[in-house]
Amino acid sequence: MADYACPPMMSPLERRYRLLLKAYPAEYRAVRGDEIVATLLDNARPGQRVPSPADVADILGHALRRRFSPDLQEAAGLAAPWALALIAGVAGFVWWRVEPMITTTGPIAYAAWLLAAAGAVLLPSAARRPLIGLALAATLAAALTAPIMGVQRPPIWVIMSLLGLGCIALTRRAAFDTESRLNIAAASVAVTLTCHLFSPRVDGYYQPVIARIGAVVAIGVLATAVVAFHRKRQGRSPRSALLAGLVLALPATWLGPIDAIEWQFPVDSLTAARFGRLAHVIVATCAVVCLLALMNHSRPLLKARLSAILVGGALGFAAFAGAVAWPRHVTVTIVVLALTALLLGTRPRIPTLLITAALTLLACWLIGVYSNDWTAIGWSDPSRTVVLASMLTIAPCSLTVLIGLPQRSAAIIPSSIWISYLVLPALLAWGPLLWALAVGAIIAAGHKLLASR
Amino acid sequence: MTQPLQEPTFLIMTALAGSPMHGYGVIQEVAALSDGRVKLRPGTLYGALDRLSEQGLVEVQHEEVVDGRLRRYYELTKDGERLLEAEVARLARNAQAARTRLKTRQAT
Repeated sequence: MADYACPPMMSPLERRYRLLLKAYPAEYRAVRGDEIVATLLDNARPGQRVPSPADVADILGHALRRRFSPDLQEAAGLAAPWALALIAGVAGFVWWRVEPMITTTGPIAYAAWLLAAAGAVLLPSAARRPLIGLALAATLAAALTAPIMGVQRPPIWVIMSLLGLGCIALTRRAAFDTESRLNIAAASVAVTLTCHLFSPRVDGYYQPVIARIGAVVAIGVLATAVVAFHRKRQGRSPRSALLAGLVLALPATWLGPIDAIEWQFPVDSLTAARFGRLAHVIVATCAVVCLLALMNHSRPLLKARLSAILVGGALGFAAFAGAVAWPRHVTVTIVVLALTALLLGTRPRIPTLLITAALTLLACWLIGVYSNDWTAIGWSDPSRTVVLASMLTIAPCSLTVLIGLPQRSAAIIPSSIWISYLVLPALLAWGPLLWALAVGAIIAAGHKLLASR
Repeated sequence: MTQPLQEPTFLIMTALAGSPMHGYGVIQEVAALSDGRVKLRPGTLYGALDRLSEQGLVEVQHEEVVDGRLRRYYELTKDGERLLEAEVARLARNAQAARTRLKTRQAT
């Protein structure tokens, strides 16, 4: 870092630019921060007081790229054509087979994605990213304009998986060669037809569609493992292909689970509440993010910060339950989080604790609003809502396992038992992606065991 | 054979070929070289400078503080100079080929 005296008075614009710099990793900020702020200030208009939206987008984009390792950026580029093929295939299937059952604003988004995929195949490379950007905007518009148009919006798992896959497709700057273009076209058609031909014996609207799309997307994720295996046989590194699979798995977390109640599994309603769509998204996302962090050798979180996240999460959840309902499950949840924090043996950082408590309270309330048909208060089954919100605790518990496992910390015992208690009773309701990850983990463990002998 | 340079990267290297420059100087020079068509933003500029530094094509020459603001000056390395020369030759060949074809077309 440069050794020079800072001016005594910082202008409001400089203060805001420095706030924006927080988006960068700390070590990069230490080297480049002052220089970037100086250039931003030099480049500002006279009298400017706030950063322009274009500068904000530019700095956040650069910061995001700095946060992801070059390996992860390469993996996202590799995953981009897969994401585009999956997205076009899913959009085609949902528009063709699901939309006639319930009319939604979805066709706005589906048409935009099919156009983006067609553009990527047929048009010059320069057209691809603007078309994907347009399709992302159309997906958001399909969700937001539904109340105005008096038509239903597409289900949230369709919107989120389209947005997630679309963001992956957007990351690639390099052009597709002719072979990749033809692969995208062929794979899009294959995804649509496979979703149509694969028909699980389930009644209703949501579950059969989730099961079909989820299974096909999970197969797409697993197919990257075949590419990785092929690369390994050729003596090349399989790492970027495996990372690409995990990148694709992130939006696929939204495509599950097989609903425990609808499938009449022998679980009580509170256990079933623990394994709804929300639970699947949280569990699968935590699993994928932990695997990505392990493969990416990410810098571990400070124990003091983790402890603050655990205690803050417990406080936020307790505040929510205190206002809504307090079944026995709440006490157990809070004891598990507090015990885990205690076993870490570090004093929590107070600012992180307070922020986590506030964010947890807000997230719990949003879950309540969403799961109670968008009503803010007066929920009909508050105990079920509180149990549902307790699934958020899987996130800090997963972090504890990720950080504590290499150090053989005792804190991983309550966290892993708690995750198992929340997730395992509804094992049969797991969505396709979780099964694919579990199968992948078993194969990897078996391979490691055989190699060690 | 190396990949052709993207236009912003080409213009940044061209700007630094004249004399060492700090970040804002490069932004201004690139705008002048492209007749105002390419307007670099700081995030894009430093993304390119990070990449070029990692590849050994540019390096920091010196730094100074002006009015409390840190200015770091960059210059083209020998490798950077060679790459820019190769790119200029490639573009010149392409331009010459296009000019020849156009002359032939206009003559017929």
